[in-house]
Order: sequence, then C-alpha cells, then structure tokens
Amino acid sequence: VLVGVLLAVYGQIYQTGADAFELFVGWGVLISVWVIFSEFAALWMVWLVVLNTGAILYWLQVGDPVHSISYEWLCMTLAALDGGALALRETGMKRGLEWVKGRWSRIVLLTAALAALTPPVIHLIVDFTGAGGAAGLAAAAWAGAAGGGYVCYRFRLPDMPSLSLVVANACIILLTLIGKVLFHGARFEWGGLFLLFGLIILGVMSMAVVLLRKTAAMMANEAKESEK
Amino acid sequence: MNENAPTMGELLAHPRVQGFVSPGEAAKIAERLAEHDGAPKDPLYIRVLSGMGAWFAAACFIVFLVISELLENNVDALIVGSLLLGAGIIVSRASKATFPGQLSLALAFAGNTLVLFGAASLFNQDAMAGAFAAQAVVCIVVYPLHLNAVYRFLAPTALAVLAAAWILEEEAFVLMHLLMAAETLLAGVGMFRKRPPAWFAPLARSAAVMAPATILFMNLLEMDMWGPGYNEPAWPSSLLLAGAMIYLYIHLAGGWKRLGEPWMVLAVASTILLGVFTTPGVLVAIGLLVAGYGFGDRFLMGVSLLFLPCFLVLFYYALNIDLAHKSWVITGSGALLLAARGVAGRFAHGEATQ
Repeated sequence: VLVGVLLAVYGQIYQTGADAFELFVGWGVLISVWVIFSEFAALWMVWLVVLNTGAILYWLQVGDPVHSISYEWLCMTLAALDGGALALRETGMKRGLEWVKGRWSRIVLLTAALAALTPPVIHLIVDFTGAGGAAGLAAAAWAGAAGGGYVCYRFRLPDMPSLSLVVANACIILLTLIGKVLFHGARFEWGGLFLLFGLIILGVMSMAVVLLRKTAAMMANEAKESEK
Repeated sequence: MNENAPTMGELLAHPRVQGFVSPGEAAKIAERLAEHDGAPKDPLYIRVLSGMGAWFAAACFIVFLVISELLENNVDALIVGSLLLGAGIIVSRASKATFPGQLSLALAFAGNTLVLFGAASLFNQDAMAGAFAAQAVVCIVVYPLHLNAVYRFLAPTALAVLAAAWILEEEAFVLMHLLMAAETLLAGVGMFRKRPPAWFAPLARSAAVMAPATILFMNLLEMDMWGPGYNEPAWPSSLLLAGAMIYLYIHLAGGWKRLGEPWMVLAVASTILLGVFTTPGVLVAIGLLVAGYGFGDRFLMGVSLLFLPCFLVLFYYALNIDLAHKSWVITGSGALLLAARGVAGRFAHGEATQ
C-alpha cells in the first residue's frame, strides 16, 4: 500500500504529467514480486484491485479516446484477469496451499469475473443488431465461464455459495432475455406486461431456489457417501 | 472416522456426560435442538437470491399499478399499499412453499414502497418526516406478522435510512448520535442475550449493518458530500462505542473479574486510544469484527470487513496533513499493530501455559 502512496507523492511533487493509469500499473508491477512471495490472500486481492483499476483507467484515458477500443474488450480483459486469478487460487488449493483456503477469495474473484462479462451479454440481448462482434465473443466467454463454474463447483470443488452465484448470474441473463422477448414490439403502456414479467421473475427465482436446495441436498448425500 | 457418531440426545443420555450436565440443562438443550430441527433455515445465499427476485418483481408490480392508473392520488397509494402488505402477510402465513414465499415478499416490498410514497406525498412539505413516520408504523405493525426474514431485515433497515434522511433534512444532526445509540443497543441485545427469540434476529442484524452505515453517512456529511453545514462533533458516538466495546470484551472474556488481566488492560487502553485518535467508524468496525470472532458469527465479520477498509481510507483521507506525513502515519500504525499483536500473543501464550 505504501508503494502506491510513494508513487502518488512522487507524482504530486514532480508533476510528471503521467496519466492515472500509469500510477496504478506501475504500482502493480512494483509490488508484484512482493505479493508473489507474501503468501497472503488479502495482499493478492489488493494487487488485483490495483491491476483492475489500472486496466479500467487505461481504457478510459487511452483505450477508448485514442484507439477506439470497445468496452467489451475491457470487460473481457477484466474477466480474464480475475478468472485467471481464480483458476490459480483453485490450483493452489488443490495442491494444499493453506493461505488460499479462505472461501471469501473464491467468492470475490468469481463475482468479479462474472460481473465483468455480464454487461456485454445484456447489451447483446437488448440491442442485438447494434452490438459489435466483441459482444458476441464476450457472450461466448460468459457461457464458458458460467458453464465451467457450474461444473467446477458442482462436481470438482463442491461449494454451494459459489454455485448459487453462478445460478444467480444465469437468472439475470435469462430474465433479460425473457424481458426482451416479452416487451419487444409491445406497447410499454400495457401494464399487464409488467405484472406478467413480475410473476415470471418470481417463477424463475423460485425455480433457482428449488434447484439450489435440491443440489445442496444431493451434495450433502454425496459427501456422506464418499466418507463411507 | 466413526461411522455411527452419536446424536446430541444420545450424548446427553450417556452416563459419563450426565455428571457434567444437570437434568434441567439437558432438557433445555434438547428443547433448543428440537426448535432448530423444526425450523429449517435457508442459508444466506438463498435468502439473498429470494430477496433480489422479490425486489425486481415488486418494482414490476408498482409499474403495473401506475400504468393501469389504479393509483390516482396519495390516498390510493396508501390504501393499495396497505392492501398489498396485508396480502403479503396472509400469503407468508398461508404457505411455506418457495413461490408463495417469494410472492409474499414481493407483495410486501411493493406495498411498503407504495405506503411510503403515499405518506411522503400526503405530508408534502414534510415529506421525509411523513415517510419516516409511515415506515415506523409499518415496522411496528407488519414486522411481527410477516414471517419472512428478508423483509424483517429490510424493513428496519429502511426505517434507519429514512431516519438519517429526515435528520439531514431537518439539520438536527445531534439526533444522529441517538440513532447510533439505538442501533448499537439493538445489535447488542441481539448479541448478548442468551436466547434471543427467532423473530428478533433479523432486527438485530439490521441494526448491526446500519450502525456502521450511519457512521459512514456521518463521515460523508463531514466531508460536505451533501452540502456544507455539518459540524456535529463525533465524540458522543465514539464514547458510546468505546463503552460498548469494553463491555463486549468483558462479556467475551467471562466477566468483570477478568478486567484486571494484563491483556484486558491492553485491549481497553487500545480501545480508549482508538476512540480518542480515530473516528467512531473504525471503532464500530473493529467492534463488529471482535463480536463476529467471539460469537462465531460470520455475518458480523463480513459486515466488519466490508466497512473497515472504508473507514480506514476515510480516516487517512481526512487527516489534515500532506501525503508524505500521511505515509509516516500509515507506517507507524502498521508498526504499532504488529507490536500490539506481539504483546497480545505473549499474554495469550502465558495464559495457555497456566
């Protein structure tokens, strides 16, 4: 943390004129070796936050205004960064590293990876003709991430909270799709569509809750069987 | 691993255990276990999912009501809102199945929102006071009747938010400390009572979340986020929270007789110093963290870990010194914490060997 403060002080005193993203990227690079050897999950999170912030600022300050990079590429970059960190975390846990075993890091990284990919998918659904090719790629990446996450946390590394995150994310995408189909071409003044959509939301979420409860029961039975 | 692990009932009936637990205590334990067996509780992630779905559905119901012109004026909103709240209560008590449970939650959210909107519009000039009063009435009436834990958590949370908004509007900032005191008291009752009733738990959790949120709001007011004018000193909340934390330590340590122990003296002294030199936000976040560890409550730990970085960042941001000196303060804080950890570790080791 102090390295970031040092860079901020340096930039303030010498007025280098550097963009904000350069501070965050430089901060991330300078502490990377320290982080790798620290074996401390919270420090890894700080490092990832710094890198994510640097990527976002790069897109805001250079990527979009200068190179016209679409936001979907930023989303995929963030998802790759956080998803890659998650994959490393799970590999470390499989190999018995004690310092990665806190469940909170899995939840945070999975949320970040899925959240990064969700906006392009929603954009693709809502404005299919207006969305670019990158949105399609992001949607494919989301499908892979969500599917892979479900298989991983249902069968390989059973974990209900992570599974529920994947299911909740899938519900958001499904409801966006249903909403698009329902309201497309309909007059928005027809209040009945909103009542129907409200009931559909309840139906989809209820099914998700029932699925999660049944899955939790099956996973508990499987765990008991494997202990025998 | 033992394939036939004994149940708690079998353990209590074992002759060797009976010597340690009196028949009265064994009966109470068995009764408590039976209560838990009969009341299956959804894990947090399922309740969050249910809550999310209900919120979006409630928004759709409200849009439907507005578009279909069933709400022509404030009184209509109050009446329809009350009816929806009543329907939500009836559905929640009629069925425990998943879909009716979510429907009851959506009806309650929609009804509560309409009641607030109707009351705020009715009071016109004093909209915030009207909304606060309406939410207070809704909480008092609906909270005991609606069985859903998510609604029971969110209704008092909304009440606290409206209270803060009303205080901001009236610029009666001294009342923020009163709000803080009420939240601390409710959270404390939830933590310290040996057998809090099941209906009280969501209220206590709401208070545990709103206590740091209220202080965060006060900190943001100090930074003139909502316009100038806030110059209320923070010491009443710091005093209250420091006192509450010291009581917490004594409760967790096993009673007032532990007050003279060296590590307890260190903990109390550190708390007093934190109260003097930092903000109430740092105190409340650390208090929740200690309570979370002490009572094995992950929810409290999660809330603390969410707010502690915010309060630390705000504290260092608000320090009226340049960045170079701030970096010294951060370094010094880290060194002090490491030293305190070393000293506390020695006391803990000494106590373990005794």
